[in-house]
Amino acid sequence: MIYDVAVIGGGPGGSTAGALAARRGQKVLILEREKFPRFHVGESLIPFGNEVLAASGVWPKVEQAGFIVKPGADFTLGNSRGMLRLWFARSLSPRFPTTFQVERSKFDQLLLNHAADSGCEVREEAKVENVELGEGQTPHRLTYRHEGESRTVEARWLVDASGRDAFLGRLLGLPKTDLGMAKRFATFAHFHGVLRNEGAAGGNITIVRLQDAWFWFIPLDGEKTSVGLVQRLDAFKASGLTPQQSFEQAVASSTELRYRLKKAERMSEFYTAGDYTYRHQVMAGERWLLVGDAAGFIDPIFSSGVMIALRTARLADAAMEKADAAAKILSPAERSRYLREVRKMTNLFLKLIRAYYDNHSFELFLNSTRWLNLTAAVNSLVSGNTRFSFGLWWRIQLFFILCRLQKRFKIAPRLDFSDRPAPSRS
Amino acid sequence: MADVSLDDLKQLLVENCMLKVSPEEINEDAPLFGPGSLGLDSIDALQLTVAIERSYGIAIKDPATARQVLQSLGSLRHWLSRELAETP
Repeated sequence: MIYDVAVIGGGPGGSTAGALAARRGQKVLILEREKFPRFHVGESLIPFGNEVLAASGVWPKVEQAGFIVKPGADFTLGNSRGMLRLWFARSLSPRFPTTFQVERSKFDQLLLNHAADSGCEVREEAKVENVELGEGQTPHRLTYRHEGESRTVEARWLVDASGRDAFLGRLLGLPKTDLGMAKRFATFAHFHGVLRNEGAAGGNITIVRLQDAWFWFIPLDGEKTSVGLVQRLDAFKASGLTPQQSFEQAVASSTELRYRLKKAERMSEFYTAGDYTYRHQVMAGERWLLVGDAAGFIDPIFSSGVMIALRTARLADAAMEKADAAAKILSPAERSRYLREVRKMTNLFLKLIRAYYDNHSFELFLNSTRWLNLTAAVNSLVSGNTRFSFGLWWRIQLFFILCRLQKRFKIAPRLDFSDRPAPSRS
Repeated sequence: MADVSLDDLKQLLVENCMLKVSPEEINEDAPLFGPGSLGLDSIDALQLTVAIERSYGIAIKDPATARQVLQSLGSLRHWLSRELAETP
């Protein structure tokens, strides 16, 4: 039997691509290496992913799952002397006023179950070992290991949603662009007893910015908060500390972190991950497409990962549908269109990410972008809007121009990252 | 450890500064100084600093700190609550 679509990976990108294809009558097989539920990092959504969850039909289930409502994002300095609170509802394009914080074990399971409910065949603990891409009308042949034996299936289309494993990227040796971002390293765990923001802001993600590193605080349920440190890999290596020591040292050095974690108790091990920003230069072939992290990974500061996975899954599904309607393969023009759309989406985030890591641009981000509704415009981008109206476009351009000027002129006050040591307990 | 409430800070603002808007119009995010703000000036800043020290026992020691924490009532409240938490 030949499947219409085989999907490698059952995370949000894979299960969404699968659900969308199955809902238009395609015969879909999803091969997931692990047994769900499983831990995964990347626990915060942004609003412009909501529409894809609606399109795949899973949105009502997500709404009823009891996830924490995320109405915005807080950015604060490690010394507690400056903060910016963004409410998505007050952005320049407030199409989706809120989204959710999601514990990924639960969220990914929900989406994968929905893919199965939509008609996909789902195999967990099925590790894809090899793919022979078919040419012309010959289907692709996938070999995977499941329950101790090797199996082979055929499919007309292949969607690679294997995450940062990048199965096809590695198999085909696809060229990558490294995008010139420093390599970073994340150390994270789940805690309870972490101090939350007051009122509705309790559902916000909070980013605590230190001079050359940052922390995330993501409320996952009534008790559990995900806390993570992201620092430069070279600085971490040079420090000679273990990830846990490095995490604890950073907490001890910051007023804001001490305040939030004063009564916190860790309820998981410490996890670590390398954050290496890259992007494949080829993202589609005649009958295959890369989605989500398998296509490219960008720094997680603005929680863009799941949204990009969802939106690329939708773009990939649309490309397959269009090609099938004309009984054709993806033409070179359609392949480069897919690449262009994915690049356009990630480029905007990359610009914002570069501004975030530049201390002068961050001064502007935090302080003085209230004129001309610049904060509301930046808020739109933070919400995940990458299809700009003119009013949004010029404000975003102006923001980035001001960021460059801020290096030489003091448009916004210079930030002082200095902090005092923890009070002695004598 | 006393909590810092937004209403207390609004009260402080109303009592010590020449406001060009009514207290009901003040929200947490509204900038205190500069264009599009509540329109406070440097005298107001000084009065406010003194009032904060009197009410909470926390001094804003230098202009750089003042510029950062006096962005809005939200940022002031944020900073004050942390200061109070670490004050014996």
